[in-house]
Amino acid sequence: MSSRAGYLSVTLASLRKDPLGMMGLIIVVVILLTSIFASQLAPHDPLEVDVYNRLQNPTWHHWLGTDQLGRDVLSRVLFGGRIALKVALVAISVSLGIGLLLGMMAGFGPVWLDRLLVVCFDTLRSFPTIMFALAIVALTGPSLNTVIGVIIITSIPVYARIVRTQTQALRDNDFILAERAMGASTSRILGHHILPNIAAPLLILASMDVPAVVGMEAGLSFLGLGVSPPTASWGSILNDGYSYLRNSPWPIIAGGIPLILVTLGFTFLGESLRDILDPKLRRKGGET
Amino acid sequence: MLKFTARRALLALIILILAVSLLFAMIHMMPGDPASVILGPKASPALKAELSQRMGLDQPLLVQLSRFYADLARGDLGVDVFSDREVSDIVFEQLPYTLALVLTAIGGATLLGVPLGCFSAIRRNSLLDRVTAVMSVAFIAVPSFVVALYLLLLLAVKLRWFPAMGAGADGDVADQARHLVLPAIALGLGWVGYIARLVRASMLEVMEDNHIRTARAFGLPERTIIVHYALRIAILPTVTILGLGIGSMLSGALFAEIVFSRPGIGKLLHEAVITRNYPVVMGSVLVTTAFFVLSTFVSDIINAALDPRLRESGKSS
Amino acid sequence: MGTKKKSGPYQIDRRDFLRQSTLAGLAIAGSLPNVSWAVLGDQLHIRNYQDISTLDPPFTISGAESIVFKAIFQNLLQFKSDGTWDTELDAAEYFEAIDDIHYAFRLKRGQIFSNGSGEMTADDVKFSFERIIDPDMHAINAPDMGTLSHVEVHDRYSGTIVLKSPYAAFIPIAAATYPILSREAVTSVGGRFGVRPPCCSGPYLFRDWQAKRKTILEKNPNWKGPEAAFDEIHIYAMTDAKAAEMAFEAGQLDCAEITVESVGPFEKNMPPDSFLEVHPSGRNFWLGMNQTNPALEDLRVRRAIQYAVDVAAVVEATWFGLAKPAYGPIPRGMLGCRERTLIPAKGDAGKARALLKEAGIELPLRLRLDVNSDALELTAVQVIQWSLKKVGIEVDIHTQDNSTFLTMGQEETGEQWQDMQLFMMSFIGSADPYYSLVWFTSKQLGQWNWERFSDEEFDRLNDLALATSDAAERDRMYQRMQDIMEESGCYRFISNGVMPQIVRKTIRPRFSPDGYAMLRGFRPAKQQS
Repeated sequence: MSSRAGYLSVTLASLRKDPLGMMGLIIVVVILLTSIFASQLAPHDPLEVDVYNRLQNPTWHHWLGTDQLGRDVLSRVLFGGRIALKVALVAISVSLGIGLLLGMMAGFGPVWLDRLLVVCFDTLRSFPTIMFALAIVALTGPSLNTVIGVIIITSIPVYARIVRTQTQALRDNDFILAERAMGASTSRILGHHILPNIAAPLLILASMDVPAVVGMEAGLSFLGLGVSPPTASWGSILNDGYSYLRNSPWPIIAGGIPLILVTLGFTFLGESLRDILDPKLRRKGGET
Repeated sequence: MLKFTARRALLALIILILAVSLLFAMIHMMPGDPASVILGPKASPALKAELSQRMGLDQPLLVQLSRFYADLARGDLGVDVFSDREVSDIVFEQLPYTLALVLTAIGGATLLGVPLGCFSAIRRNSLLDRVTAVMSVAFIAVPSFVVALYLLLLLAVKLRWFPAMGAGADGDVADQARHLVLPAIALGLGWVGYIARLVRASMLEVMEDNHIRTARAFGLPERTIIVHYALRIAILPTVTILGLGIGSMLSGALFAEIVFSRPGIGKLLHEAVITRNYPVVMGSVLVTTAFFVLSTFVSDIINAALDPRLRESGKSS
Repeated sequence: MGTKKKSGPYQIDRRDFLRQSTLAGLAIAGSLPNVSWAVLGDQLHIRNYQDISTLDPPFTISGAESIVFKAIFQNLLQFKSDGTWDTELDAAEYFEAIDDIHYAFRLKRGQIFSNGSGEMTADDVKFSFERIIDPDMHAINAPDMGTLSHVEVHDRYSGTIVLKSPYAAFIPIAAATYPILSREAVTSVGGRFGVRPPCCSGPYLFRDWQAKRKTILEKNPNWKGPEAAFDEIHIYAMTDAKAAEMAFEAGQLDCAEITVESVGPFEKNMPPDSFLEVHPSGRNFWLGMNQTNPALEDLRVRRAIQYAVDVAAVVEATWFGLAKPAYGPIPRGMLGCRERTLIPAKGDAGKARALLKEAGIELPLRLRLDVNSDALELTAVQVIQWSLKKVGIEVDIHTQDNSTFLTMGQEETGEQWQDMQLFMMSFIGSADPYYSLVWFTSKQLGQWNWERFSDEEFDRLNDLALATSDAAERDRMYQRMQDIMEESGCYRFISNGVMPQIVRKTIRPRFSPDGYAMLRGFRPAKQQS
């Protein structure tokens, strides 16, 4: 237990030395807090329609102006964070979990299984992601859950491949070979030895995946294929803003900022953590 | 080399076939009969029956699958539900616009990214290096459609320096070039940083190599060393990434086309999805997937040609 | 009478396409000429909201097509260019209703068809009308001919149109809309044609059609009427209104329909030498309620919803204050338009809540609202959603693409119509009030009558109003019919919308009462009409 705490404080200490990483951490924390406490922080109900005050520029009453239905843009942006985080949390944890499983199977299991899984992964990855998403949405109809599902399906191969590579690398480790010689079961080996070794880098990779996932959801909502009205997602705010671009630029300005912040925050933080925890991973950074 | 190429080609083909089959299966797994799905909501019972018969939808699945491949081999992608035009005609009409955009974006990104990465590697930890590092990270993951929207807002609508929509007048290259600028920037911006980082990292790795040290010891000018040796090898991962990048570029191109109202496959696909024009949806996805697989394949081959180390079996990026 | 017969294998109903489909084509800014300014008096460059799919009258399906064929063909009568639905003579020099089922006409002499088929004769009139009701033709537009029986030809230029029974809408919907084609020309190309008409006789002739790009017309040298003002008219098929706006600003169009939200920005930054005209449109937007759905069976619930919806706010948000709340499906300026609605436009939230309480409804009441994925309608339903929320009704908005949406309420698509609760509908009316209300008759149950509204008096009045030519009578009946609709609680009328146009000052345009460009009436600004 204490080694964990020590681990954490050492990490934080290193992080403090890296200004970018620190900035990333702050941004991430701010985003998390504002999204969780959106109800308390938002000055207005994000759904409140005020038709006679639409497309206004920022005023004291509406810090980021209003959209085409008179709704407060700032409040919608704050609540949009909840959608983004929900999508990121669900999509990444599920695809990570499944990817972990499949990757370990591929890396540790028989060669035919490995070949089969690799071909499956490559097939899924051969679709340009959004095209694939569009095709699925065309068949099932738009909804946030469909979007999450598509993100999961397209993310699993990515995680699985990395897990597979790591597992393969560790498989021939002396320690592991010894365990196998002694007759330890596969699940024990995977669970007790392999998993802890890949957990940290995997989590870091996952956190760096957040911007991509959030961006994907925003993109699909921007195309009108994600959340349904009147739910506020950063993508749907941008979609509305785009239609009324010439009437007021503020919904677009406001909708893009959180996406940029999420990107910067998680990426800076993730890179920093990666440099601290496992310098070897730097090289593998190009592989996705 | 030949063996490698052949094996790679086979793999690419297998993947393509699987991908196509997956798409085919998706239609048939959906609730409701395929004729409705294919025809969309315009299906009347008479039309559905006619289509079912014509397409052999009452045949066993495997028979249908082989007919599908046969059609595909002949280049028959089906017929547009609304206009009765051949899907292949429609798709290949729009493809050049998307390719122009993607190539411009990649070209621009490479032209900027490679020198940037080079200089960053040579002058490690200089101001340029640090700024590039930060900017690259910043730009890499920002969704390209957000960049596109901001560019549209600022440079096209507010400042009017560039056109806000369309591809430019036919035959007028200068006009079409002007229309390419903003979408290409939106698409390629993230890649500048990515390529720069990649080149920098590879070059740093390579510059410590033995034969570079030898060349240096022999007194060869630094510039020659860089251009003739280091860059050659550093390009490799770049080429690989570019190959993979085309795939994500196609996705980004879709957004650029929509934001800037440019004709192209992305816009075609988007509208087809909205109007449930399934033949066009499938046709567009097929063509873009094929492109993606092809470009990955080509970049693998080029990589292997440039760096023999990669020809070992099982080595793939 | 009044039922749209689904004809042909594709079951394309006119209404499917009369809607402004913004998604059927691609932005084609790249096809515009490099010329910056249309040469004054020589060429007119105008936007059409959609490409034409055919110019053959039995099969034309959209306003986009009528814009074109009204310039190149002649009808017996034409609508005046004065913004009303009044008609004037066009190909005919004499046109009178002899009685309820006979219309006598006599053609002007010397009206020559462009392809060499010679002069227009009464036989051509017979041919043009009768082919539309010919069963072998499977004409989509056959119902527009109403009770047409046949056309008798008396001599070279005159004849009598004979109906089986009175059909009051014959003049506006048939006689003033359907062109006269040359029997010889059409039969020589096999009896029907597509986008290239074999003969024209109007002030302009058809010159060329480029798929998804434009249609080109040229001046007809043999035209006997007031001279056509332009040498050429280029009609660009641009489904993307924003692209059209850009094209206008770039100087490549002289006249274009624009979006409602662009009116404000254009007013602030008017392009040089341009002006805006905002015309009422002939569309009809309303909130429909499926009264056979268990949640909406109680009239009090539907009445509550009617009172809860603040139509004034919806109209303000959706049309930026440019449109007015509707009095019903029949728009202002047309026979039969009401002078007020039974429930005020602003609604009354208090009454709504009271009604729900009286009906013993447990709040919040969850209802589903289906809507087309059209920007205008999406805005409207979000305001409706908010209004209903304030009285305790939670609305889930389900967006459907155009094609799916249009088949949702149809019985032949399956059972899904039973689950429909609330829905936002819109469609485009025509030149006669009958066309605005026929969709709500009992005969339309299972087709377009998604509210499952069925009223004996309504059906009876519908038939009577169609059969009488007494304008005052019809006016009274159509007003009563709309009252019945509102009393049923199945409808909350929203608006008839607007069609804003931006025009170059060098052009003096003319528009129909429902906002469509009347190309015949377009003149360069300096000329006198």
